[in-house]
Amino acid sequence: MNLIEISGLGKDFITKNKTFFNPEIKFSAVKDINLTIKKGEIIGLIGESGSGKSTIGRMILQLIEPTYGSVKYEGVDITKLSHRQLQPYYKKMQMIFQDSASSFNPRRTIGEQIVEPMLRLEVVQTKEEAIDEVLYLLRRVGLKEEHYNRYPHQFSGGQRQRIGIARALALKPEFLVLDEPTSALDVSIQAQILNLLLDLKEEFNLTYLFIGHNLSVIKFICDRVAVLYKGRLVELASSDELYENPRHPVTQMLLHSILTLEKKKFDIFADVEKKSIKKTASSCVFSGRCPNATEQCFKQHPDEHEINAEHRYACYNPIGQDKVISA
Amino acid sequence: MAELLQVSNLEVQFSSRNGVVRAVNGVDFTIKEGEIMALVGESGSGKSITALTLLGLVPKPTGKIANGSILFEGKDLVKKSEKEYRQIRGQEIAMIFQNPLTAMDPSFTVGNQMLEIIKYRQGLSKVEALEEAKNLLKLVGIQEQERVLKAYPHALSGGMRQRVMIAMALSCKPKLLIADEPTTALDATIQLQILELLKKINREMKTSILFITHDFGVVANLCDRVAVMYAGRIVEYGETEDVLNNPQHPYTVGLMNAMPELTDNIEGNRLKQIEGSPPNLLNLPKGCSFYERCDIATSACQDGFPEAIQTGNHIVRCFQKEVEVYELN
Repeated sequence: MNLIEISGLGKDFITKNKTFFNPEIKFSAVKDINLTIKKGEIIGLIGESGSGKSTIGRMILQLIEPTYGSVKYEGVDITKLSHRQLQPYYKKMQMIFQDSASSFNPRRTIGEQIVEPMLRLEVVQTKEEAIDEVLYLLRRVGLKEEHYNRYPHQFSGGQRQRIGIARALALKPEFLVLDEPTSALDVSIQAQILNLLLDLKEEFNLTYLFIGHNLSVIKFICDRVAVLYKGRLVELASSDELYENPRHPVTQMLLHSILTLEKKKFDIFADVEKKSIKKTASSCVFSGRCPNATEQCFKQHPDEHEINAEHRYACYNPIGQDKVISA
Repeated sequence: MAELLQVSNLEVQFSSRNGVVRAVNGVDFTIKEGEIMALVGESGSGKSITALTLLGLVPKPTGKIANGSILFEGKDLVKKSEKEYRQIRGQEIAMIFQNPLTAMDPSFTVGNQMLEIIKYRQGLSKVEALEEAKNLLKLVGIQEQERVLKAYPHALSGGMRQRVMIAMALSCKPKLLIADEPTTALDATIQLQILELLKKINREMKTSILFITHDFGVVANLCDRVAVMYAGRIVEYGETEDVLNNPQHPYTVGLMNAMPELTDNIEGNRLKQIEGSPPNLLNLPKGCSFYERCDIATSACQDGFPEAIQTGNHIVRCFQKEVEVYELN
């Protein structure tokens, strides 16, 4: 069952306002994204910085207004709703940030900060109920009850991330956007947080959109992965399939950047010689860096090619062959 | 290879309202000329404080070097006065930081900051210094040197800023470069480019590098030797290949198992995590500092901190090491 359907979603930021002499200058952060998120799955968004992954996450939550396209939550187009009509959806969808420290008010205890939205959005009726619930959540995410009365600066990075998770869960959401929740953490803490997220998903029947740039973390936690480059979705597949049979050069580049214990040749993508053809606005987004780019790539961005219902990519010269599935 | 730096029994302590914080607790290591050594550990393990101590930058007056010596080319840096240190810091030992934006002055252009160092340190005229700055930027792989020199730090991308930082650190041709998690804040694809650059500098300029990180993938691909730190002590130390292929200390094994990059067969869809958190440095236990989180600890581990056990060039500090040898799963 589809929880969220995104169709033709895009966002243009205006970098220079229109004046009498100059036209306005736009920057397209996200272009024509089509994606469905099934109930109960973990879907990954991966890409370099500036690929638009956080922008997509925020547009789903209506924290940024999309320029075009629609986001349907259980069949309802939420991009058209007013602030008041969106109220129930604020409860259903929550976000966990990379830098939880800066998403808390430093002057108030974390307990107060979690209780307040619970009362405001009427998840619970009385303050006592809310406090009981918060104490349970603090224990559940691996903290102690006495942490209720502490201030954000009194916690370590890993603990802050746990508080961020507790705050998101307090509103009993169905869907969580995790924006690089572990990139600022040590590997040992990262493992603890990833395991906690998997446990919580089972306990509370959650659906996750996991945003990251580390492909090995994404592969470990996600069921399906969408690869982004400069605001375009270039490949979508199940995480095992993406790992074993990557079709788009961007995916291959990201896979190559995983460092394991084996020594590898570092920089296969930086060596690409300067192309004789200039990249234009309509070229394939990766054409400037792509080792396989041909003339066609510079003319127009490729359409998405569907191998099967689970796997699609946008490239004229993909790596490898389409697998023929025999009946 | 001759030894460039020899740190022995280094102890750094901070006095706080609640007592003495033992950040570094008897650290021994050496860096040879032209090698890359890695210092691996969690946050709070003392790896950054060790690096700052090498540069004579222990925060005063709360921090002090309580014990030990730092021999750099035979001279003991601990005994140097602040004035003498200024000739070493930047000139002989340089450092690059995790976040280059906070290490640069936001109100001056990159060129302004680079030229100031070059003019002061090498006594060149403005024209010569400009030429030198361009050469340095070219060395670190920046194509549009003119544009970068005129730009303010905030206007550059993360990878570009880190390249500028490296160029600035190299401007005095230091013998030792300390890199404190230089790639942690960068994208995986940019990380590869910066590592490649550091490797090139190490090969071509014969600069020794002390690389601080928590990523074993980086260590395997870049570093010759590795020291694993925990709660202010080095618990395992040796050639990269020995340590990573045959880790002896349970902490090293735990860290490696926690990395999704390194574990293919994940049991029950969960990563193996090290339970708990590092000990309080205000009140270190008498015994092994890893005791509370260790799977294989016995009551003997509480009695004292284990002595170093050396096999070949591979040093490990664990009581259980002789009892059982661990395999990475």
